[in-house]
Amino acid sequence: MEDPCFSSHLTSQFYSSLVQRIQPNLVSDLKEPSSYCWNSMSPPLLGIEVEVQSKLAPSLHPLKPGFAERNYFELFEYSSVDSSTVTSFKEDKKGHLNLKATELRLGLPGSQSPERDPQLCLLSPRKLDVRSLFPVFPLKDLSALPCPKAGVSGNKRGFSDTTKDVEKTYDGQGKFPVNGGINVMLSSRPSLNSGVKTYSVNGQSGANDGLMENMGHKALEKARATGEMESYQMDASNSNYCAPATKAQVVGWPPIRSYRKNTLATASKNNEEAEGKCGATPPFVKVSMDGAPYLRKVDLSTYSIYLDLSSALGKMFGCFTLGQCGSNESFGKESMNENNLKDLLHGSEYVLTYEDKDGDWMLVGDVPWNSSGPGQVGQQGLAIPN
Amino acid sequence: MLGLTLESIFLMKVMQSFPEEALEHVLSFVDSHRDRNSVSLVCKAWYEADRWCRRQLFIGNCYAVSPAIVTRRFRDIRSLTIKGKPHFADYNLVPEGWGAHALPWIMAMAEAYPGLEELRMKRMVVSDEALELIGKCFRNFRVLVLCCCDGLSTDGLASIAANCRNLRVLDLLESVVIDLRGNWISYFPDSYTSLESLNISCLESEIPLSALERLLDRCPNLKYLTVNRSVPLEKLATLMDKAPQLTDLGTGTFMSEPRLELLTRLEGAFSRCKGLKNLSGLWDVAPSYLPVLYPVCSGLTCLNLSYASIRCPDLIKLLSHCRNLQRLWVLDYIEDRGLEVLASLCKDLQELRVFPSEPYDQDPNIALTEQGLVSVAVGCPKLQSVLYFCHRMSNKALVTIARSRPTLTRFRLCIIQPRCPDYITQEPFDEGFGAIVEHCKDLKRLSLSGLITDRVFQYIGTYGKKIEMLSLAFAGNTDLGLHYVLSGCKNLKKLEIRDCPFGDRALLVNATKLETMRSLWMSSCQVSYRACQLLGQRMPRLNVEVIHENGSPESGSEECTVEHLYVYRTVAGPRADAPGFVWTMRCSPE
Repeated sequence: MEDPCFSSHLTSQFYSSLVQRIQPNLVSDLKEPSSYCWNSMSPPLLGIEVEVQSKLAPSLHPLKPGFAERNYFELFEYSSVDSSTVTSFKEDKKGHLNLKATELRLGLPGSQSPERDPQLCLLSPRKLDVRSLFPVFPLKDLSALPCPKAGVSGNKRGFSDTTKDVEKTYDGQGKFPVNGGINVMLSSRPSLNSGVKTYSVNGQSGANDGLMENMGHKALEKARATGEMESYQMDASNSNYCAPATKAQVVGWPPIRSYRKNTLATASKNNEEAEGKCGATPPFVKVSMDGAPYLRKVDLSTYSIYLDLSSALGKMFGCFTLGQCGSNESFGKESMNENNLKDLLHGSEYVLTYEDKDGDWMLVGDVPWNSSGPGQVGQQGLAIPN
Repeated sequence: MLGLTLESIFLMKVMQSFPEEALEHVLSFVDSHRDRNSVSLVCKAWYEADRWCRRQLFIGNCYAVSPAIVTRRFRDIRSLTIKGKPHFADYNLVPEGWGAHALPWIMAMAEAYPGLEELRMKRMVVSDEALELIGKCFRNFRVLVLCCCDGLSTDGLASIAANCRNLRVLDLLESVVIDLRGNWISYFPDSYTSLESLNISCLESEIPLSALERLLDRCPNLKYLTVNRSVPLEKLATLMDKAPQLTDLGTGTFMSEPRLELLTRLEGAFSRCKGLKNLSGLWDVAPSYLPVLYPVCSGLTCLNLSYASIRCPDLIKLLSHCRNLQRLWVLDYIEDRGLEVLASLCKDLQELRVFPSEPYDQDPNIALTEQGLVSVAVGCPKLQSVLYFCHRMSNKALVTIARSRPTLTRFRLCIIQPRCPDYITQEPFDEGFGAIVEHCKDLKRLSLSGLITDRVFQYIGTYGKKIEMLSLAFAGNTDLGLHYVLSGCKNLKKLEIRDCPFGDRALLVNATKLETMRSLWMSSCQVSYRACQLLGQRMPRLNVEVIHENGSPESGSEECTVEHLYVYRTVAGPRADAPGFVWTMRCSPE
């Protein structure tokens, strides 16, 4: 892949010098909108770009190479610890994460609002800040933060606040109420399952938190030592990224129209029902007889009454009985009725039982045939009554 | 503006003497709305001529202009196309009640253009009242297309049916219609015979079939018929027998117990539809009934199997009959091997869309990977448009696709796991998507997914000169990414972003770019309220809408990020119908 015509270095220089030009105006604007001073330039933004471009051509930035990128942030004096932190804007072939820009800063750089200091302080013990510096799951945090509540410092909420709220809005169906407004990835089982890696930023997995905190502390020390933030390699962590995790549902992702989603949902449901109807997979049921050397399978859908079933079973297993109660010969349909059947059942040594879905052994014949569809009967067995 | 030289005075005289009627006649052949817009900018005379004789109007964003402005400018409009909500409304990212109401437009049209014949609306809220107005006010109304609209019910449809005597087309493409259990189809009067196209596949409840049959009986020109899922297979044969001239058919449910008699009837019905070109519907397919389609397959150019639960072996059998396919929409049941077969057989294929059958399943058991797309890209020389959902992708595959198919104009790839890297190298997809934009020089629409860093935006900004619509999700690292896109993509019209770490800087630096675009949507990004205010103040021709459902954004600190930001250019100023959770940034009074 060839490099584009302008070098990455030049781009970042251009960009940084562009922002340098704008920055004084923007900063003052943030403070006092009424004293907006762009009126002197018209059209304001275009003017700035044009100005800068002509300046760029004659000479590069007079400061030492590599300064330009760092300078971008040093220009804006932060009163907090991270004022000394700098990120490189340069294009790194490996796609290093540009941490500075992903730092928990809301608003234009250079603005020095005093109330932001406590949150931006890297020494803050709150997990949220540490994690935000190493956004393996970049910046979901920031988007998850709604407007600040009174009493909480500035506009960042504590981690516990965030999770509480998020859990409140999650309605347990993998869907967020439309008015929730928080687009957060949540695991469908909001439990702190430490073994499971989710890409939920609120770090419902304890393992994730631990990992990031460790790395966070390491980098913190380094940052304080050298005054520079190391860019963080995303590659290592990304290999873990795609590991199948617990189901996490994000609003509107994957991007499928609700019409299609609903249709697919009912399609799969209908398919399961219809497959049963069309006999795609006939409901075979295992039947065992005590003492018989092998089991048989019967297709329940071929019978319509218990009588048929028991006569068929009797035929199947007839060779194993010793002809008691004339069970073999008298299994003709004409002479059979419900009462006879019951007599036979009670008289013979064998009864038909089945194990239902609760795991209980039930006597065949109590429930009307129609209601006991294939899904309900687990297994049938002939058992000798004591 | 001509200078006052003798030459120019002479030219002006020549132009003035060019009869208006001749100019209007010539312009009537200029159809495309973009060309018309260019025509109107040439000079005042041409502007006036276009005003007078334009009949078809396209409004890409209903809030970019107001009904009053439109009716003031154009004398007589016959065909109107309006689009409302932003595209991400399809994925529930735009809160309910945001806007895009059709009624004000229809009321203005009713007064100014009673001769209106065609109305096509996309993502608008169309109330029953609006539909009633259409029925009552436009005597010659012919075409109603509601694509992804909502707000209407079957009562509104009944009023259309009852009142629009000349209706030709009624197309409710994927709209949400409230079912009030009326027999709305029976409202078509007995004397009504002009129906040519009926698409009601989005309706949820049962269609009264006898009324539909009677309608088919008396409308001999019906060419497009798409019914909904409730229509059973038995009835399909009856309907098709009444309309063998169909070119587009959307079936209902395609399942029934295997019965020889029904099979024969359907086979006969399909073989009589010799002109069938477009087949869709096919819900709940019973494989035993697929062979009835074989007679028409060779004539099909469009096939929509995206609701059909057919598995790979049956799909392959079906596709092997469809050699002339140009457009195929299918579920991921087609698997890689199905796509290989497609690539080898359907050399005319222009558009492929593969949808996920289990979009929320993290570990699905589908054998659809990037290889399927690669086979189609390599094998189908006319491929232009791709929408592909998959679970894994590699840069190698993307580079192969880019090199084999530089004719791509639309490339939308959705790797279902957000921020998923290349499964072979674990790297981001920068090189892969970079190759796509570099080789596909006519690329107009691009959607990215997977793990993406800022580098890809540098490529996009450099090479994506023709890109008009770009969709980003969970992508990028810093503002530089957004800056590359906004400063590099000259033809960018629509940019929609969700969950990307883009903030104020790139937005403000490129504010003037936003006026050259139709719209920008950013949700769950890092844009602060202060920046939105700034943007709104300095750019009077942009509407900067902050959509914030958790109370007013002003109640928090100004550095608080906004939930959704929707910026669009407009000549109509801030809209009056914004709901409570939409804050339009005001211009500073000067």
